[in-house]
Amino acid sequence: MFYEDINDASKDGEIPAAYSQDDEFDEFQEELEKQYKQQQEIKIPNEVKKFILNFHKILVEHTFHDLQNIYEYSYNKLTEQFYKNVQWPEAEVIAPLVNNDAIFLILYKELYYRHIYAKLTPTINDRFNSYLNYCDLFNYILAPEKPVELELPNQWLWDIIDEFIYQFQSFCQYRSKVKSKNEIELKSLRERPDIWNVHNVLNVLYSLIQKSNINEQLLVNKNGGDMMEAAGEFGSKQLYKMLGYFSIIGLLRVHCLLGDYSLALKMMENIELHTRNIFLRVSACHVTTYYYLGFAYMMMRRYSDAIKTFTSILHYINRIKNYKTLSYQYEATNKKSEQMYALLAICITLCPTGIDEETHSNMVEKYGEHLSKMQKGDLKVFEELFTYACPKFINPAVPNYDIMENTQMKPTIHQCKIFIEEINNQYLVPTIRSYLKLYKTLDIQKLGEFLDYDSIDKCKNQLILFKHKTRQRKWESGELMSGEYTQTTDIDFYLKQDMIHIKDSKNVNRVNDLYIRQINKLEDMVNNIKK
Amino acid sequence: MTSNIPGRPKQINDIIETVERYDTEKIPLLHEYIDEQLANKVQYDSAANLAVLKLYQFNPDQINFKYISSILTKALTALPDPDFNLCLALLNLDICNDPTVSKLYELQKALEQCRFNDFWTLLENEETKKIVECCVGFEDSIRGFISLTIENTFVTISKEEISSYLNLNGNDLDEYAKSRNWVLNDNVFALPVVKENEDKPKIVKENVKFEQLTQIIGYANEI
Repeated sequence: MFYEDINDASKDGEIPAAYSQDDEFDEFQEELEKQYKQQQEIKIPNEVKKFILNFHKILVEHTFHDLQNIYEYSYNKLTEQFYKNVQWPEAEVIAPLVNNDAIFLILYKELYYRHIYAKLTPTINDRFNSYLNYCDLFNYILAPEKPVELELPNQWLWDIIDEFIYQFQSFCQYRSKVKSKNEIELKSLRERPDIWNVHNVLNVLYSLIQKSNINEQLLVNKNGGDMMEAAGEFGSKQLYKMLGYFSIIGLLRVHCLLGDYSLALKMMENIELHTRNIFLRVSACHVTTYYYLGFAYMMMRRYSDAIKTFTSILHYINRIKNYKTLSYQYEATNKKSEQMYALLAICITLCPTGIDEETHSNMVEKYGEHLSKMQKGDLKVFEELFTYACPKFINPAVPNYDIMENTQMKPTIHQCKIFIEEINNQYLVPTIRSYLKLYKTLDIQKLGEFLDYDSIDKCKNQLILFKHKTRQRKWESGELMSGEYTQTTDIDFYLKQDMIHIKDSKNVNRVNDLYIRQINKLEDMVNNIKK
Repeated sequence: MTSNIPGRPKQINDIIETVERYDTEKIPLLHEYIDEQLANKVQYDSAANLAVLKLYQFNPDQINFKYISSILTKALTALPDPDFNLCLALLNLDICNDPTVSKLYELQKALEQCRFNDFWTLLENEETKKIVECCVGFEDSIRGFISLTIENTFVTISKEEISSYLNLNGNDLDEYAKSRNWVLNDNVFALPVVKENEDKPKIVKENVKFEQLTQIIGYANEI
């Protein structure tokens, strides 16, 4: 009955058309705005109204398990139907429908702004207001002394953290485009340096981790102990626990965006990726984790660990590809997977390693040409792939708004430069490997001829470098950060003064994967026939 | 590279391991800690030094070039770990164009490309020498890295060659060789056998992990 009333009220509030179109009266601005909102409310399609009422009802009645459907199905369907190119109704417009319910409006606004970021171009006001809305949301969750009575689907919780960081990153880039700003925008930016401030963003993530005792919980998971005690009052609630875990992954990502790779890895110290992990059921989280983890390894010159990370997730993506869920997540996952094939191609060039057949053939299909050019030491191609596949790096400091310059690309150029210089140190490694492969012993003079070098010293140099660069830290067990030095190439050698002795290498044929896959296939077939 | 340095003072650990690492008021303490590392009074602590660079990154008004160059110099001594690059990644394009930083970058490239002779030549430059002077035992640390790399590559090497790589002659070289168990024979050093230079076939094995088989074992259950 309650809902009926609201509907009637909105119909009564119809405004004479002439009035609302008249914009000469500035003093009536407020009045006009009110009318505009009322008009908007009338414009809300019935399905959407129903959706909002239903969504609100779930929150009021605490029947949270129904949210999954609202979030993953109804919301996307309505967006597709009514709001493909325009924003959803503003929160103020729908507020009367839900009795000005604060938490409902916060959650609604979170979706509202996320939709603007995804489909439209956010204005500076959108950016500011979205930030303020996140503050409201996190305050609502973190400030009370008792856990709040709210449950959201895991996917939604992940999307909140993911979007929070995305908008932070997007804002950092936005504000560094000083040259493209008008006076009003610059004034707002100067006045509010607190908006999307890096400290505030980090503070949210660290607070969520702390409140949820997630690190303590992960330790208990790993070493045993009393889970309830470790989790505490907040951490035993799904909302806090999941937000805590996702904040760890969020920090992994933020630290990568800032170029702090070792701290990024450090964030993961209590997480065991190599065992089954309930948190990984949100596949977008799974993909993000591996992408940033692999990238951090790559930047720490741990190519074999990076390769392992990338292949394992690409394998996973291939497997879930068939269960195509939501288009927006699907596209994001697809893009990340393309990027990871590019990074994999870079790492494989620098550290030739056998990987599983399927991933290898996918990689060659996508980047075959790039691979052969990189093997010949073409730095331009390394650069091209790196810029395509790297995260969007940010400058966390507030730019100088007095200098009319767009600096949003500087952090990426900087990271790329460091990486390319590093490659430049070792671009001959694949070439030398290809020569060494052919011999048991080789005079250094002869290698010099192959490489077109005029001095033996230079040649020796390259051989020492080969050894230095192919010896990398590699994860064995324990924390993801830890690793022991091992020779990572399949071709190894030693020098007796001026003679290169190439070590025998015995390659066992790789049959595991093949057998396992065939057995699984057979089982599937048998099952199908039985059906 | 490990995050928990055993000798790290509790006071520092409490900063690095908590959100206090973002507090600009802690910068003086961390600066002092860098000074102690430079004097070799405490162990090198990359995590603490990176935390300082991160504070600079967040608060450009706090940037102190003296400590940037100290941190980068100290990072060179961590080779073969890529600490130097990890430090650079926290700086920015403008800082990297600073002449002092560029000089250190040159040194790093010479070492990373194993152009050891070039490294010592670069170090003869008065200005460069001045930059690394602050770090006690800098040359010895670098020699440690060079020796390690040489030992991984060579089984035998001529005295002349290794002398130029290490920039050591006569008695100094003999002493040094002794400390690392290098045996001189006819002007050729025989280096100790390590995993990297031993004459053993390299076997690339394939291991099956139990987890890979869980699904298959599962089938058996259904029968």
